[in-house]
Order: sequence, then C-alpha cells, then structure tokens
Amino acid sequence: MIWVAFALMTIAAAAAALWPLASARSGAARASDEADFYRAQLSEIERDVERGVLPEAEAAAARAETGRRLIAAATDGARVVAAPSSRRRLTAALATAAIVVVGAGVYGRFGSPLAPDMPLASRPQQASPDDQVAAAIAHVEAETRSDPDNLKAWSALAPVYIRMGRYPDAVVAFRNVLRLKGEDGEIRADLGEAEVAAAEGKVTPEARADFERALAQSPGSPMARFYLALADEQAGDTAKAAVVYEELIPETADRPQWQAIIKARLAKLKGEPSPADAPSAANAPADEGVTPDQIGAMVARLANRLAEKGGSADEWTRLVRAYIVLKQTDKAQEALASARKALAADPAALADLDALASTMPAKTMDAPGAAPAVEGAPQDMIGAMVARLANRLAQQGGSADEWTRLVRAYTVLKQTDKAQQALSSARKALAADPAALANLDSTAKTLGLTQP
Amino acid sequence: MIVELGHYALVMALAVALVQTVAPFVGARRGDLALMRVGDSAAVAQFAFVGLAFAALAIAFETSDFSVSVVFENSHSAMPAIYKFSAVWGNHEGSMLLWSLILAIFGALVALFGRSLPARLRADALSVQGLISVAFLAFILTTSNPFARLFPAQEEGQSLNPILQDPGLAIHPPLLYLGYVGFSIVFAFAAAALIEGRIDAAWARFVRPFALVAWIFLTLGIAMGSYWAYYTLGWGGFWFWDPVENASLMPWLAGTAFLHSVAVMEKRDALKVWTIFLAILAFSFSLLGTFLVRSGVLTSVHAFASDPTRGLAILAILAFFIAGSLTLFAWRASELKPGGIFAPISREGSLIANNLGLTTACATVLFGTLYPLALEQFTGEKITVGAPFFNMTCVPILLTLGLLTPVGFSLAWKRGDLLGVAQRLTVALAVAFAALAALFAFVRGGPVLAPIAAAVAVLIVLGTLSEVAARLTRGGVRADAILARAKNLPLSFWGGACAHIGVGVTLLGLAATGFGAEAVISMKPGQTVQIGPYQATLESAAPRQGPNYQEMVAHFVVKSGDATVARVESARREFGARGMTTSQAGIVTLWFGQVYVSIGDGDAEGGVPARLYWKPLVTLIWLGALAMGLGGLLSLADRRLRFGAPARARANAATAARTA
Repeated sequence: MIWVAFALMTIAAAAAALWPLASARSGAARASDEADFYRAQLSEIERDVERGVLPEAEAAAARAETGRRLIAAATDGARVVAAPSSRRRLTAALATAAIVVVGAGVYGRFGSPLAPDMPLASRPQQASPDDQVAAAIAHVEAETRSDPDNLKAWSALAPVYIRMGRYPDAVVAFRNVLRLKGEDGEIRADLGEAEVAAAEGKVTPEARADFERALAQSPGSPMARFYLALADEQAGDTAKAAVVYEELIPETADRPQWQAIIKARLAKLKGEPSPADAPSAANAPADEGVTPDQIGAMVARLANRLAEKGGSADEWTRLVRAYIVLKQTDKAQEALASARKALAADPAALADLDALASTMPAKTMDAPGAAPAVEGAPQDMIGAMVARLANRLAQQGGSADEWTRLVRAYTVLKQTDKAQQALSSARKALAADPAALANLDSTAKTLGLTQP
Repeated sequence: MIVELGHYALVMALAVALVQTVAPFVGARRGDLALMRVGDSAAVAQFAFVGLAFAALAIAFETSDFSVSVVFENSHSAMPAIYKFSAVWGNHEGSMLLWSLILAIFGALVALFGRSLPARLRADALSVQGLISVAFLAFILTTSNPFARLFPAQEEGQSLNPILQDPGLAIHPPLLYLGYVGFSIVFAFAAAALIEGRIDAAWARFVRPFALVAWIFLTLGIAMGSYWAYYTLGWGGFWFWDPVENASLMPWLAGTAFLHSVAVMEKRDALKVWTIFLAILAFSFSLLGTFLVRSGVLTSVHAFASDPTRGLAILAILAFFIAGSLTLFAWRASELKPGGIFAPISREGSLIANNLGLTTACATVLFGTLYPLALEQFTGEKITVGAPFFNMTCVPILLTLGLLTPVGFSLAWKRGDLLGVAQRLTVALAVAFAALAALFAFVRGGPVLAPIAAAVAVLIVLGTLSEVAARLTRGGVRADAILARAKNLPLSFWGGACAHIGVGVTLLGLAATGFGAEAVISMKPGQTVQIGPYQATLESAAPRQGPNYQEMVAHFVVKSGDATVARVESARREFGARGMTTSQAGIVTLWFGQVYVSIGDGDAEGGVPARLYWKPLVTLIWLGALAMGLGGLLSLADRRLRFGAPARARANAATAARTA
C-alpha cells in the first residue's frame, strides 16, 4: 500500500519537473523581460496623468526617465530561443533519473517504510497490573487536577506516592491534605518523612521545621522525635541524638521494624558494626519493613551466594560480621573458616579477617546446636508475620486459603477478637465467591468462632 | 504510514530541489525558455512536498505518536492540543523543517506571482533558492531527521515542561523564521543579479515586497521575544545582548539598510552595489544566527542540544554560501552599470550615510558577539560582553543615525536643499533641545545616555511629523487642499513616516528605562512601598493550588494618594513533580508606563521578597515596534493592481514605480 503511495509521489515529482518541457507552446511564447516592465511603467504614467494624480511637469520628467531606461533595456537583452526537442528530451530523462535515484537512495538509507504509525489512541492497552495501578493513580491525579480541594483524592495519593518512591509528589500531596484538613500532627510528621525521603535521607531545614510542628501538635510522637534526633545527628550533635535514640528504643517495642532501625542508628553512632543489610533510616517503612526474620533471610542468602559463587573480601567480612551481630557465633566461625579458605590468595583480606576474628566474643555463650538467638522472642516473630499477612490481605486482598490462614493464626495466638475481625473482613472480601465463603464458614465452625 | 509518507515526501522535495537548481540555471545561460520554466513548476512542487512532510509531522505530534523520536523527546500526551502543535517547531529537527517549509513557500510565491518578472532573472533566482533548499534539506535528512523512528515505541513522551506552554513562546520562532527566510529570497535575487551581471529598477520593484515582508516579521519576532522575556523572567528586563538576540538583531540592521537601499534602486537606479552587498549581508547573518543556536558553540536558553556533527555541517553550509556569495560579488560587481548620479547632499547621500551607519552598528554587534566565543576557543578565557560594551559602541552610532533620520526623510532626490530642510526642522530641533536641557536639569547626576536618547527620539518624531505637514500643505493650507494632497501622497510615504515615528517611539520607551524606580524589599502583609508616583501595598500572601502546580500568590493594591489605581497579583509557582519554579509577574499598565511586581520565595509570616518597578513609558518600546510593522504594511500595500493579481498583499506582481 505504501509503495503505491511512494510511486505516485515519485510520478508527481517527475511530472511537476517535466510539465514545462512537455508543453508544446513553450517554444512559441515570448518571455517577458525588462522592456515590458518599462512599457508598463509608461502606460501607468499616462493613467496617473489622466486621473489627475500626477501633474504634467513631473509626468514629463518621469516619461523621459522611463523612456531612457526602456531604450537601454530593449537594446540590451538577448532574445530567448526555443529549445530544440533533443535537449528537452535529454533534460526530461536526466530529471526523472535524478528524482528516482535520489528518492530511492536517500529514502532507502534513512527511511523505515514498513514501520507503522503508532498514534497513542490506537495503542493496545496492556492489562498488566502495573498498568492498572498506574491507570488508577492517573485517574485520581486527574481528579485532583479538576478539583484541587478534593481531600479524599489527596489523602489517597499520598501514601501511594510514598510506596512508589515518588517522594516529591508525596510532599505536594501531604501539603494539600494539611491545607484541606487543617493541622494534624501525624500527617505533618508524614510530610516531614516524605521530605526526608525526597532529599535522599537528609533532614532538610523544611523537614525539620515540619517535624517540630508535628511534635507541637502531637507531643511525644516517636516518629517526629526520631527524625529530629536524626537531624541532630546529621548536624553533628551525635550525643544529643544518641540520648533520644536510647529513649525511643523501649518506646517502640510494639513496632519491631522501627525499633530495629533505631537500634541500628544507635549502634552506628556508638561505632559498632551494624548488621549486614540493615536499612538506613531514610527508608523508614510505613508498615512493612525489615523484620528480624527478614534480616536472617538476607544473611542466609548472602551465605548461599558466597558458598556457591564466592565473593569479594568485603562480602565475606560482611557475612562474618552479620553472624556476630546476630549472636550466631558458631556460624560466624564457620563463615570465617570458609572466608579464610576463599581469600587465601589475598594477604590484605586475610589480615582484615584476623582483625574481625579478634572482635568475636568467646564461644562459650550458646550450647552447640541451640537455636540461634534472634532478636525478639519467637512469639514476636510470629506476631510480626501475622501482622504482615493481615496488612497484605487488607490492602491487596488474597485467596480464600490466605484468609483462612489468617483467621487460624489469630485463633492460635488466642487473639479471638482479631480473629473475629479477620473473619468478617474475609467474608466481605470473598463475598463474590460462594465456594470460598462455604470454606470459611466451615473453618470458623472448626475454630469455634461464632458468627458476628 | 503517514509518518513514512511524510518522510518520503521530504526526500522527494530534495530531489525536486535538485532539479530546480540545475534546470533553470542551464536554461538561463542558454536562453531556453522551457528549461527556465522548469524552475517554476519545480518550486511549486517543492512547496507541495515539504508541506506534506510538515503536515505528517504535525499529525504525528497531535496524535502523540511516540514511535517518532522527536515526538517522544518533545511532547507528552497530557499537553494541550495547541502546544502539541507548537512543539512541532520547538525542537531542532522540527524547526529546521519549518525553515525549509517557509523557504519553499517563498519559492512558490516567486514562481506563481512572478510572471511579469523577466524570465531569466526569475530562473536564476529560483535556481539559487533551489540550491539553498538542497543544502538545508540534505542537512535535515542526513543529520537532523524529524522522521527518525524509535522502536519499541515508548508509552509516554518525555517533555511536559510547563514553561514552554506559553503562547508568546509558541509564536516567537515562526515569526522570526519568516523574517530570516524572507531574506534568503532577497539573497537569491541578489545572487541572480550578480550572475546575470545586471540589476535595475525592475529587480528592485520585485524584490522590495519580499524584503518588506521579511523585515516586518523580523521586527515583530524580535519584539515578541523581548516582550516574552519581560513578562516571564521576572525582573523586568527585555534585552540582554544575548548572543542569540544579537544574532537576530544583525540581520535586522542589515535588512533595514537593505530596505532603504532598494527604495533608492527602485526610484533612482542608484546604490546598486550597496543593495547587493546588503542583501548578501542580511542573509549571511541569518545563517550565522542558525549556526550559533544549533552548533553547541553557545550555552544559552536558546541553544538546542548540541551535536558536533550538526555544528560542522551547518558551518560548512555557512562557509559555502557566505564565501561563495562574497566571491561572486567580488568577481561580478564590476559588471553592474553605474546608476543615476546625485549630489552628496541629497536623499541618496543621506541613505548612503544610513547604510554606513547601520552596517557599522552591525559590525560592532558582530564583534561583541563573536569575540567572547573566539577568545574562549583560543585561550580558554571566559568573558562576557554585555550592555556596557554595546552602550559604548552600537548605541552612539544608532543615536547619531537617529539624529539624521528626520533630515534624510525630508531631503529631496538627486539634489537636496539642506538649508530648506534645516528651516523645516527648526521647530523640531528647538523642542528637542528644550527637552534635552529640561531632562538634564531634572535628572542632575542621573543617567547620561537617557536624556540624549529621549531628545533624539523627540527629534525623530517631531521631525517626521514636520515633513508630513510640509508635504500636506504644499498645495496650500486650506482643508480641502490638504485632504487632496493626503489622498495623493503615495502609501509608501505614509508607510515610511509611520515606521520612522515608530522608531522614535521605541527610542523614547528605551530612553525612559533610565528614569524608572525600583524597590527590592521583603514585605509583610499591610506594608506599603513607594514606587515612582505610586504606593504599592501588599494585601495578602497565601498559598494556592493550581492544576499541576502549587503557588504562593501575593495581592498588591496600587494607590496614588488615596485613590486606588489598580490591583496586581504576582505569584511564584512550584511544579511539584520537577521542582521547577516559575515567576508570574504582576503587570499593570497605567497610561504608557507599567507597574511591574515580581515576588520570590517566602510566605506571609516570614516576609515575601518582592521586586517592584515603576517603568514609565515602557509600553512605548513595543508600541513603537508595532508602528514599524504597520509602516511596513502600508509600504507593502503601495502596489497598484495591474494584472488582476490576487488580493494577497505581499504577492502582488510588479507594477509601476512612482517617482517622488
């Protein structure tokens, strides 16, 4: 199809170029030249005299001047001649050849004839979940554009932006929520957090001011105090920061992921090596975060990788340190031995490892084979896992199995009211699926939960 | 398919331009009418093909076709439709395509409406224009192809820069390009005259409308750009002697000189060599401007993304045309027969002085623009050449020319009567002197240049008006005689008068910038500041949410004594996603002056840093430019209809000359 269009255009180009050559009358016609121009001027002068616009004296002068020029022009120019038809044919052939060659050559070099147009409207809409989320976000964004005072929209967007890492947009969203809702300590603190994230972990003066306002509004807010301490630390006042961190650690016992972060920062301040993949404070989690068992999983992954593929001196050192911090001394010794073997060729690395070995506590603490002491009791660990599951189901939903698991977990933990809540949420979430509902009901009966 | 059709159309345009270059040239040498006529049809075909290509690119932008590289880089699906269209030329490739389109339009105009032009001249001119097209089209297709594709096609475009979504900014490039490219046709005619070895009134008659159109658009384009800078950049400046601004000023100076020269050529068949030389100069400066913006030699808000291959290619084109045309000039200028003789004190003489003055001013601007670039290349030392240099070099030359303007306007052709002119201008001179003395006394210790400029401005305006009065009353002072004279005075005279008055008005506005008032102060609500003859009070400063920005809006009320004269609002906008901030200046026009308010970052508690200006008579700068444009239009309209040519003013064919 497109080739037809190309051919038509080429023919049109050639035709345009050759039209005068084909015209039979071009030989006979007279070309205009300067003499015509001056003749026209003379008649114009006469017309102006008739109209009374040009007085006679000036007209005489003008006529004389123009006449002089007319004579000069008439004796000057060479006449045009008619073209012999051989030359016309030659020209036609050359021109056509040039057009075709240039067309094929240049377009062949630079063109993509088979490439289709892709106007946005005709692009197939991908149904991938990322796109759906993006589309949903775009929809809410459009709502805020058309109605900048839509509190619900802004409130919905703000945490989403945080999760997506669009921190500057989150800052704007939080500011709008505060504008519309009025002063609110928690949201003010969230705003501060977003600003810190947008500044890649640095507590900017604006963020600091926001945290101070948040603290004024909600006295004792742990988040505000933490970030203000972080600001102090970044400003160099580490003693003051450490004091606040110490205060905060027992206060955040109910939020183990925060506690871990604060502990890590405190450890850093005191000069202790921090666990391998502990998060920096800037990645302050909303609800999900790095829990102790996640740390354990990460360390295990590192160990596996190093065992299979080996790694740099830094990575081995990190692994050993991680085991030390997790108080898994025997694993630390194993790792140290493997590291020594792997890095045998590198005397500098071996020296580092020796230094590290000297910091390890004596191996008398745990009985061999005892379960490694992870931070927090097993109970905490399970509680954290259940909390994560509950969050995920609340936000993203899940299968009947998962809901059932959640209800069962709460029952095991003897948190009956939470189990009831989970059950009713599950019923709402799975309302469309009668098989799932039936499943849920039987589970409830087994667990001895009454209908709400 | 549409995109590739546009691509192929562009290639066809190149092919046809090649034919347009060769065939009419050969035909003109051999006297072969058929070959010469090939130039006409090829020029029209070239316009059709480039038009198709441009349309295809515009469609790609409007439909957000992100498989086209330039659309992806310069557009976004959320842009309003009108700005999607202006994004077509808001980038290097698209703007070069616009350049070629305008080149093709002018070529087609010559082909379609130049039937009364001598055939040989037309053929040669179209051949040269074809050569320019070949150079630019080849450049576009090889180094800056707007139809380059990007696969896989991206989901969304890259550019949603809110600062670029502004009507003033959208219209500024097309206006300027119409100016630059118009001078290319003038250049083509000049080269044709040199090739033929002859030039005369018929030539001047035909070229003048093209020169006028180019000059009008260049004037308006420069004025538009300067006004956009004034209201957008937030500190009330409008001319910065930026290299790119200078690059548009130089063709304007050369073009103004050319316009005057070609008028002499038309009326008196004199100043032939000057005219050709100025035509070459004007186009050379247009090309130089193109080079400066696109080659990466400059960093400026105007510079497109730089690429050394492009820079070299443009430099090669520049060298070829400038060196080639100057060589042609040196070789063939002696063939031109000398024209009408005239006394030194005459209109022709004063126009030679005009040419000299404008070219010298142009040379100072050229020097001031290129010197820092050359210095940086050779020694690595970075300097800036700005207002102080130009105030000492270019401005005095132009002011001196301004003094001569009313004199030249009043002198007669061939033999001028200077004494008579001086007598006619006595009143104007007296008033100007008085103004000068008064201003000096008033502003003792103040700016020196401003009162002088103001006096020259007054002289120009009043002097022009005196000449108009003199001509109107030649037949007597009765009302009906005056009216009759008014009807019979040629439109080009009215056009000239209007344009010269425009120059005076602009100069007055420029001079008045030395007399303004400025206050830079941190203000809290309720605070009042004296600004010129007015008092400005900050009423409130509060945040406000816009569609995709957050702004701090400050409301001011401007009072004179107790009466409230105006309310102004200035804002500082922050575009969330990018963190870009723009200033929205608050401007209120009071008579011909303006109160200009611009705020910085701050809030009601801590104080809003505000810059307030009183700029007396500042609107005159742009009103004067409009008057110049109007004058050009009046001149353009001075064509008697001879062969029933269509109504488009700029396309009218050659008609009779009017001897003054």
